[in-house]
Amino acid sequence: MIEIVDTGPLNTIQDLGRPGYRDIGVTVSGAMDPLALTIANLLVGNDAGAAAVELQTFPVRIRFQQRTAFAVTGGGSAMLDGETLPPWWMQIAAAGQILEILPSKTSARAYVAFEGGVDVAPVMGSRSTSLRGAFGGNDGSALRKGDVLQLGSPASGVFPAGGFGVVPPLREMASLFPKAENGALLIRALPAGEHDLFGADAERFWAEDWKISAQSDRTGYRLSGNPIRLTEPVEMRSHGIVAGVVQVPPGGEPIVQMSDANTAGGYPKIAGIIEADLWRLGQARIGTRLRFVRASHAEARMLDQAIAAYIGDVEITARQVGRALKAMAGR
Amino acid sequence: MSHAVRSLASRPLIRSRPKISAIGARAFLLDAPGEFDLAAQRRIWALTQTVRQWPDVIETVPGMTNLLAVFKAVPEDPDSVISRLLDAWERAESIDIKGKTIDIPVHYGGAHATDLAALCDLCSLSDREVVRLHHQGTYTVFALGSAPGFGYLHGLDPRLHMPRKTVPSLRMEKGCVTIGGMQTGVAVLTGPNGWNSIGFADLPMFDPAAEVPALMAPGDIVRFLPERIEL
Amino acid sequence: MSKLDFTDPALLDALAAALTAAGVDGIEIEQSSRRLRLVVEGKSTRATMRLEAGPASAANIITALMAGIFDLETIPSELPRTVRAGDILACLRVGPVLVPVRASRACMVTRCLVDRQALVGFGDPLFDIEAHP
Repeated sequence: MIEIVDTGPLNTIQDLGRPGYRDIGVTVSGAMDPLALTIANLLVGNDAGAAAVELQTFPVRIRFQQRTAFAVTGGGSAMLDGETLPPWWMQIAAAGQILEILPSKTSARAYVAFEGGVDVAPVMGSRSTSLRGAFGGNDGSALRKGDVLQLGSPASGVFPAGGFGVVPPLREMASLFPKAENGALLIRALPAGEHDLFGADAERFWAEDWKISAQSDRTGYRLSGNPIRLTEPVEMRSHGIVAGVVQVPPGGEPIVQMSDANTAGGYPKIAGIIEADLWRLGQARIGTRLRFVRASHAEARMLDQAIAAYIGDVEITARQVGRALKAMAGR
Repeated sequence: MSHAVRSLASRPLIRSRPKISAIGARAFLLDAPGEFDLAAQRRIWALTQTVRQWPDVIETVPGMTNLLAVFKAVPEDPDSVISRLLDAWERAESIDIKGKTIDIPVHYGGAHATDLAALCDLCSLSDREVVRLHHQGTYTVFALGSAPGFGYLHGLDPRLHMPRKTVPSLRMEKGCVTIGGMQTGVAVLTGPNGWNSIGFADLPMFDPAAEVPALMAPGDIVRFLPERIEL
Repeated sequence: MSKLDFTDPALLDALAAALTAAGVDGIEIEQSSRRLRLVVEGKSTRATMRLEAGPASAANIITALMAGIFDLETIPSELPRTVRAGDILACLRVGPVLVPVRASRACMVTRCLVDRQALVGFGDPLFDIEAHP
């Protein structure tokens, strides 16, 4: 068991989400940075999609009630009883130790996975919290001070006593995720249904920088910049949407739907962000400048494969290194 | 952002062929050609049943005369996906889903009917007449979406059509019986809502713990029973 | 403690020249807890030095627990620095995995013995340490 000693608002239990129920209006939810959640789980020997804790407001303090292997990935700067942990790191906490997580300057969200996973009841196949639907996770609520969370049975993982980490994805795959010369985050997207109805404004959409406004959360990011508008109004019928869709309401400032995206939408949509870049947007803090880059299906596929290879590499190597260190410690 | 906002509604987009567009790299949206009517929706239901069987499709989301198909992985050949969808649309025969009939007792008027007066003004009918037209209608669940278990109901008397609000109500109670454009429905979540409320229903529409979480399904028939009228 | 730097090629060359001149082909120096063996091969002045992990020397050297690429990017640090037992000094990189190199006891880390991104093997010396002053 772990106890939430301190937490900011809107920190939740998440896994890889609840896909498959959009057709009854159920939001997918799940981690805003599914790559970080996956790696945190693999570091403690869990399945990639085990439930972990997503932190977006800090500081957070968690007390371990028994010896527990845990991992912290994504943003956040972690300390175990005052000892600073490197980023993207797993370690074993002794009973009574306190993990403290503070915000990081570069990334918005931290993920803490625990050996065995957070054991809350799955709802419609997922342990993700749906705050809007008030179900999943910890009874549909954000984490509160004093919450005690059960952990699942450990998968008898082999953990080196000194802990270990992984090279973060942006360092390992730096060449695949370039930044603009002015520092803006480059986010690759495909034109969506109403793209061409924006006329010349569509070109400005790709050419100009956008800023993530303060009206941004797990549901969606509202971007600020020079408004873009349809050349003439068009009738829209409600349709299913996925996270990453970039819609343009009448005001002209785009909205990007994120993990808690509505399942249906009716605003004209100018673009759809490829999933290989969506996790980076999930880690972008309010105020971040970004620029959209037109991508192709082939590029999206190549990036998906590169990310899958990184995940596979972490999974296999982490297991081998764990065994090797354990064997060495035993002789 | 609780319901789709169509404040730009002006020029209806009528095509003869379906339009297929991408949302990101592994979702494709097919918009049916023609009017927003039951015939088009029946063909969307048929298309949904076909596409759902495709081994590379992970999710199908029927909307208002459209279908979103989400694929398991980014397709190697997106053009072939588009032709498969067009082909499936051409073959899709209108199906009539034999849905169940759901009777929803409604308390018309009262504290929850925050937009009844505005609707009366808009359609120049008395509140009694508005309520009568609403509960005498027979509605078809076109699709679910927007919020867990929320059914978009088709069949609203044209005299009761009322555009969605440009500024949504900040807190509308779950259970409010609402009108949005040419559709009606029952709010399933308490929160911001752009539809217009004329009454209240107590019937639970969604239970996440149930084997079938949503009360409504596409093709179901819905009737509103005036349990109480408070004007 | 000696202030001589036994990794300095100029010093090694000078020592090797002195040994050759003296007609010996090697020398072993045992100094506090460190043992150094210097071997002169043939008539050349090429010298090889080995820091042997004997019982006396282990305490003052931190060695690699496994093979990997020496990585200081995860734990940027200025030397010399004082560390506590268990503090991470560097990492060894195996594929995408980073294995920590930790201080076995509280000490002063005086010198890094390998280049960044160098491939090191099991038992290779990584850091010189000294007891707390």
